[in-house]
Amino acid sequence: MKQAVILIMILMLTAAAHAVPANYIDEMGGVVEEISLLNLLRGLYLSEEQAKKIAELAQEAENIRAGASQEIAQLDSMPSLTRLRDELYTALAEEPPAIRTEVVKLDNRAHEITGVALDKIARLEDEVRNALTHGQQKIVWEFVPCIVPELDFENPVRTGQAEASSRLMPALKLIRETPEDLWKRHGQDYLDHILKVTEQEVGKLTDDVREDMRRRLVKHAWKIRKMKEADFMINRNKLAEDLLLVNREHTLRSGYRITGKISRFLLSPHAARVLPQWVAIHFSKESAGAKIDNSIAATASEALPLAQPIAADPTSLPANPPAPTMQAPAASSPSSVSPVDPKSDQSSLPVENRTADDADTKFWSELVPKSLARLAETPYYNHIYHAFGRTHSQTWFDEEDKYVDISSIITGAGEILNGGRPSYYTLTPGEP
Amino acid sequence: MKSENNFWSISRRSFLQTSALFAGAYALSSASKLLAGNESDFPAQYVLQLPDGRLQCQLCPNLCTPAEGENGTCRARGIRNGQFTSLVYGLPCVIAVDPVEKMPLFHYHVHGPALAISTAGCNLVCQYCQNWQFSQKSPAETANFAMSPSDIVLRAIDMQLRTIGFFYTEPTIYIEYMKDVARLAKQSNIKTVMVTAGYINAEPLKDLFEVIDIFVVGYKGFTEAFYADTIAGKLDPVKNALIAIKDSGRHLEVVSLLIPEKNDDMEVFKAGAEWFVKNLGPDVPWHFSRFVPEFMLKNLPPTPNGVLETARKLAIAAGIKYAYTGNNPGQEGNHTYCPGCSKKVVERLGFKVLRSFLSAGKCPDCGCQIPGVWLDDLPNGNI
Repeated sequence: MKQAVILIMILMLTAAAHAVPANYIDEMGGVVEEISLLNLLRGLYLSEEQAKKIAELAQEAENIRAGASQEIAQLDSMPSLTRLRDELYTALAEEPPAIRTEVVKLDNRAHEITGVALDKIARLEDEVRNALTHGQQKIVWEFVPCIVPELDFENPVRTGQAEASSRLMPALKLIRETPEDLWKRHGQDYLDHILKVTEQEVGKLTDDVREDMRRRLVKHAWKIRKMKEADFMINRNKLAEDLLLVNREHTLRSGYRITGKISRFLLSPHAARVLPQWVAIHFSKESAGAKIDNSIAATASEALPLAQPIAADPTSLPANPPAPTMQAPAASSPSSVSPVDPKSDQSSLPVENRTADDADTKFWSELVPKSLARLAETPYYNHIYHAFGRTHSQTWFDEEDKYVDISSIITGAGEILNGGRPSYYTLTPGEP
Repeated sequence: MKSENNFWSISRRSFLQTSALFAGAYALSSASKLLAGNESDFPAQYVLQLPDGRLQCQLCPNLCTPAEGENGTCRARGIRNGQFTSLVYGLPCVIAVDPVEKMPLFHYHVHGPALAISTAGCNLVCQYCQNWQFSQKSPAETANFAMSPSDIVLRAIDMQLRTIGFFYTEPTIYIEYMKDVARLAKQSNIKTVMVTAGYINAEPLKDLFEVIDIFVVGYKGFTEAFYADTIAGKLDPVKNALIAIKDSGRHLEVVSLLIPEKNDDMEVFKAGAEWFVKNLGPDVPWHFSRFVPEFMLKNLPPTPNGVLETARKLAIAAGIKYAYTGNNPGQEGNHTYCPGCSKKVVERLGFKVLRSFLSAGKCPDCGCQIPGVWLDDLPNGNI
């Protein structure tokens, strides 16, 4: 008897050790998403007024989602859906189940409710956008979900510092610095690639809008490549910003406005949870900052342990990063996709012993992914999934770019374990 | 204020005419050649021939006497063909558009950002320099843009920028170039800002008062030992420069980067603050910036916000009316408060002015005049 009890206890403990809550992966993903959001908030330096306003709007967005969710629940689609599913097991191919028409109607209605909710949230997004400075909007637009934020994100441009580079800068540099021969072969494809990434970001564009954007990109690339070096230096941040100008209204095939990254991060269900806490911690009278201030030591060196000093010899310093060149590329016709005068090749790419094939391979395998590494975050493919804040990000994972997005990997792994197929395997994202 | 409103009263054509005249005079002068290469051969000013025949640069307290083919400490001036030469005239290595708040300049509102330029070289060796990639280099080691003074001013006009900043490295080292740019800018009603360590001798500084509108001076530390150990300079000349600028009536703001273990001893700081109030008065804005590990001081931690706030409080206690913290966006010390009623009169976030409540530079609540140049029509800040 005693042995049996011990055996049962061992079995129970073993079972407990292996039992994983069904929503464990979702929970992990949720915490990762909150970490990511906190990283963003730390980089935005919201004022008290801004933080409170956005927290309110995030709550409002949550209410809109709850309302839409309730409306969809009232449709009571589940019996019809399950009946269609069950009938599909046995129905003959030439005789589709009659219930299908009803299910399509219900599904369309659910999409309509969702679209209306998205429109409402998009209006809230406008309010958030108005509450943010231009610089903050740019940070949100360029933010990529991460557990470890990039160094320059934690240390933004400082007083007296010469360089301020956008995260779009790698794409800008690739356009400008690709040698003429390589650009002739791949320039248009690269611009199409940028367009594709943009479309993944903002949703499927209408044909007209896509064509307009394509033409604009070609012109913009021509401008970037023909500019004199001094003009490029002065205007590079603006050029980078203009690279992905998309009118987010009236551009999507679905007809509804799609919400952008401001909603994705600051009006998400995670934001509705995180922002009130952020406001309470940072802007209450006895804030964490005030506590730190009260306990501050007379000198910073007393307060913090210091690392061992490094050699003060300038010769031991890291190598000088690439500096701008004096050479200015010559202009050519904007109608051409390969706009740079061959003489003005300012490539930073190594030329020696390089064959065309090597250069082509390197262009697509290394330079292109790197240039778009910080852009290709594709949070949503599915309209309803999107609207309810079930985030599902896709990123280029590149250690050199110093951000780590494991959210998609965890959730993707969870889906694979459950026999599903993570959406980042989808080659042609579904239309919202 | 009137001149601000009439800024664009000078047309591009009249500017071009002025520039053409200037360029003609410039071309006729013996020192007109701009080298398109890495070094210019513009004759340096402020040079003294010593009794033994050597040439000594009188521009800054370093008083360099390089031999033929050698450069001074700043790397931007040297002896070429027996002549003391500015090696960087017309050869900026950095040209960018930046908000003036980045300099930092808080009490002088301008419409929009500034065109900022810098050449290679510096007459100091700050161990924490964040622009060391070109401040500790000679023009032969950097990639430069061949831009004459009129090129710079025309570029500013084309981009509708109303301010030109001499920034990032020590502008003193390219004083000949700076003066020519500033002179042309003045003719075109463009304001000029010199962001300097104040490590300059009295005579060249006096000449700058004629052409530079605004000075932002780095009061980098509060002891001679700090200047000697950390930035390879001397404190006294900087103090003299600060007093001279103050006395000149030009707009002055002061910035101090507080570095853990180097210049964050609050007892020493108090003495520095007392000197500041006694010699510069309570109205000169003083910015305390957060250090972020750079160059030779990567072993030190960033300055905690608490240290910046403590310094600000001590400065206010010493009598300074406008003390700010910087490089720490979102903090109380980023804003301007009325010394009369403590109302927040200018609200900032990072380098952005979010809101200005001032009317003709006066507090809307108590009417206290805030020193500086203020624009009432700053469009919801300079966002």
